Amino acid sequence: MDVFLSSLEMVLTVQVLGVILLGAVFGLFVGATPGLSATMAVALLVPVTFFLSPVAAIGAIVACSAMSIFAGDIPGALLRIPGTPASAAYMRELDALTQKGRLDLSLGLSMCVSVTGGLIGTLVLVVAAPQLARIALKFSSFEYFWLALLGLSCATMVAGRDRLKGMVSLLLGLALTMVGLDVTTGLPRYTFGIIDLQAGVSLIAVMIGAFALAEILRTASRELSRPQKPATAGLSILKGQFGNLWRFKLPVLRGSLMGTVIGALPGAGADIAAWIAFAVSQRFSKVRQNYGKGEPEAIAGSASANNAALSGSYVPALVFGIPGDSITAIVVGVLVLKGIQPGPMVLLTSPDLVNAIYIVFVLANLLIIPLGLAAVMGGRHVLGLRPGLLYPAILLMCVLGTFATNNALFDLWTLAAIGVLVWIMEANDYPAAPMVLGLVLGKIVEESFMSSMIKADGNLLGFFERPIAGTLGVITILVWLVPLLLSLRGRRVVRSELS
Amino acid sequence: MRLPDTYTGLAVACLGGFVVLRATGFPEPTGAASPRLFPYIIGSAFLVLGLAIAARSLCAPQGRVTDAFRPLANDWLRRPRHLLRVLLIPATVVLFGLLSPVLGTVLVAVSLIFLNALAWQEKPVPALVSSVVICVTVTLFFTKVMRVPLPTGPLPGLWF
Repeated sequence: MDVFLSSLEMVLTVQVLGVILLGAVFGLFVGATPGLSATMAVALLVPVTFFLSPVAAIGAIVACSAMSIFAGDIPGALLRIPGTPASAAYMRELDALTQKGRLDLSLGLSMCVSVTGGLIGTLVLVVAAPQLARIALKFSSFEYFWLALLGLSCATMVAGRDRLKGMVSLLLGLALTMVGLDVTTGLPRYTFGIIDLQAGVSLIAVMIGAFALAEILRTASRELSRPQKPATAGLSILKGQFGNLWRFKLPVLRGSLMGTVIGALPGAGADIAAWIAFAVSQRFSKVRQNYGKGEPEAIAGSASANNAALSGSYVPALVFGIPGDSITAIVVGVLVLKGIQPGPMVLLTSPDLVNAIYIVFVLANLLIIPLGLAAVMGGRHVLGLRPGLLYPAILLMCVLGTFATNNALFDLWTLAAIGVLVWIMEANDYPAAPMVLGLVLGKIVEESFMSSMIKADGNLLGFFERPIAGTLGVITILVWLVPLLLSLRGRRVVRSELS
Repeated sequence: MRLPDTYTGLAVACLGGFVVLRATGFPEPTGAASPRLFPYIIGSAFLVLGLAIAARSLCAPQGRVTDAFRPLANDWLRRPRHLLRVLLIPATVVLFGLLSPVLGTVLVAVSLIFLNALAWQEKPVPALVSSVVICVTVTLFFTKVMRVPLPTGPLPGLWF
């Protein structure tokens, strides 16, 4: 109880509450703007969090990401354009309801189920994290090596259409971590005599380059379109929503639990959770013929999943220090920059910090109602914003934000190089997310690998001798081999059919 | 621009070769903790995956063999306005880094953001007004709220 009160004290300060509110408003703006993603919102927020306390920094990120995932539904309902990829799964339903003149139902329901999903996800996080941490306390460098590698492998598998290219992107992230002083010997590697590279590549510059600058470049290369100002909605969106929540209790509960579990899996973020929850909801629905025609049950089943996935993704990040998606990769990066190494020890040594994170999650999800309502009412102004005003402003925030973290002009060269590189990579189907995950986890992978090698005296079989390490190792190898074998088998079947 | 996988695969393989070659020059202390080991693994993986991507592209059933070598130019490359808009983005980052220590953050930022707004099809007057408002607001936020020492140039420190 004392710990909980101390956590409350950490959260209920003017600075933390103010930052949470500002983070939420920023997330709402970015999420509601088509073309800008929740990850971009968080990446742009990182330089600001650099100057905040750990609780305020995490509070800002959680509020920003939760709000932007919900806000993605607003242009989905008003313009038939998903604000973030996480809203794409049920955008047809939102739009069809709007076309039927039920804008209040589409936005009101998506708002209420988002809050419910987020809260259920937080509950699972609160219950599961300490249990998993107890197991994680028994981990040595062998287990951490396999766990990090397993997380990276799974993330690569689901990152894009092409697994080989996903692996190349991951390797690029791991290669970037080799720049700077070697973790075990302290010798400089790949610094080319440049002093600024001795501390390594700036994580924040890479994140902003990969998720914000590359996004601006992608939009700039397309034909510009100025969205029409849509119709507006008011307080009526809240009318009858308690009744709707009760009516759709089963799809909401199913979507929330599925979202949490999917969110906790490495690589599967909020957008995948929403798609899977939509498909499952349709499969078990009594009115499945209405799906695609503006069925509120479809929104209840999938809009709850994407917000729940956000909470779920914090389970591996907080317990093992292994981020599951790009947003938690940024969170882990921010915590490490603040001198906090996420992992089971955090739950033991800083229970007040962990409880504060839980409280922040609850607050961020509850804030969706008042702020979401304001955004829905004023959404037409945000959605009508001209690209000529929006994108140059984001570009300036990228430049100043990157400079601000280290006060180093060198980071700007990193920003420009990574932005252009990721833009070219994505145009050629090389996904960006594995690269950032690789960069965040690279040090853990190399450190745990090197210390395990020293412990095992160079014997690779030592990586399989401990029971949990051996199991994780076999699972990781299976994750690599099974898709390869399935693909070879598929080819053989096609060949035999052709012959 | 969409490049054939043959080229991107070979570029990845070359990167792998470079990583491995460079690692051979690292001093190697005795024992299992060699600073060369991790770079060797990563470089070799780059090499194998890069060659696999290139080989897959060459072996894929295509209309003509030349498809595996011909880049696909996007529309933005053919339109000067689009091209300028795209090139101006990394140029803004680089020019800010080069010019802001000499001329100061506000002056450089306003000029670059104004040019960007024009490139994003904004009319000159709204572009100028918005760039001044955006730059002053964002710069004030960074200098006064976050206390970041942005380059001031010839302007006195009090004014950014």
